[in-house]
Amino acid sequence: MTTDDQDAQFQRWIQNHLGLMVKVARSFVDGAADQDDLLQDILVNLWSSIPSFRGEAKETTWIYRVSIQTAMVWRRGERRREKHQSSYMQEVMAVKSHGVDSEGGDDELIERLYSAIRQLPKVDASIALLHLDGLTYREISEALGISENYVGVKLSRIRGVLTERLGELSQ
Amino acid sequence: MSFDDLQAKWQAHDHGMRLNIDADLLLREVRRNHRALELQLWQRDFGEVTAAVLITGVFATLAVLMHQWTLLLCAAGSLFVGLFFVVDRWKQRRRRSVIGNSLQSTIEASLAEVQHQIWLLRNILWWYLLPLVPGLVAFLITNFWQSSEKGIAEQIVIAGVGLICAAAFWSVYRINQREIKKTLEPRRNELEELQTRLGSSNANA
Repeated sequence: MTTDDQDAQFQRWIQNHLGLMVKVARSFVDGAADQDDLLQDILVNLWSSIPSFRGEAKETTWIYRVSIQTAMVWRRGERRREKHQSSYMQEVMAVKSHGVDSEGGDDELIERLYSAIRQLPKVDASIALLHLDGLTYREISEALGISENYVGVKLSRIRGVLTERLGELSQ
Repeated sequence: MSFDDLQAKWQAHDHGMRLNIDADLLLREVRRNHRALELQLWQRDFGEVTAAVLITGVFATLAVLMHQWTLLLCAAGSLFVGLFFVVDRWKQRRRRSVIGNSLQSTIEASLAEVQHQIWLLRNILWWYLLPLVPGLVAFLITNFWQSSEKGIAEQIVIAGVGLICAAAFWSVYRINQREIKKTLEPRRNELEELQTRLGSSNANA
């Protein structure tokens, strides 16, 4: 694969699936600065992973896999960004954090849901995010490398926990 | 509100999917970040090796100028530390996980990296401090012995230098042991917990 092919593939994924990566960043870490840092790492890893993508998995499964893998082992402040450096990604994250992209008026509910997901253990948070996005058990199992049975067992608990936490928060 | 209602609202929400993104600008930024990361790793390795080579050169030059063969031992010690860095980094780079492989392998690779860092810092006495000790001790003892003819003042200075070196070595050792407890062990525990969770998920298959 040439660098031009890699760049073209990356740009296409960005156009179609950036929101997916932003969701992963917001589901794993709190605070705009950390979310921006994580998103930058996800994007760098995604770009680097393109030569390894053989089309065996669906594109979205691959993007979820790379994003979640990055988020799972990400550490705050591991890569210190230069503070003076302007970041286009920071602008993107700022737009998401302030809910400018919302259409349905459910910003507060969605933000509370993100908060509830962040409180889950990381593996559970990944399962919750993928399930909320509508992935099947098989797709979740492929993206995370865990068994479908385990996804099923975990999800029944996760659904209960999230509903309960959202209920507590809304009271 | 039921979970299905939550899921419906989640999926109806625009999480930025339709935001107009300047993909070209973002690509340039990603490539810049990628280069910056590579450069950061390269600079770190280069800095460590350069420091070792410079210190080796300084010790070797002083050994020749001062006719102090003991300083050659110090030069050999610094050279050993520099070589150790190079070999260690090379071996670690070969073990890095490829992103996009399974989550389990990514976590295993991160865990192995953290465990290796713990091993390095825990054994810093053996590969970083001790190689420098024989040369320094030989240098100080030789000079202390030779200065006995010149007077007590010079002996006190040499003993002072020895104490400062010992304090510096002790500080380096303590700082690194503290780093293990403060940063690396919690990180290792976190990754081990993740690995256990993923391991049990596959065992339940």
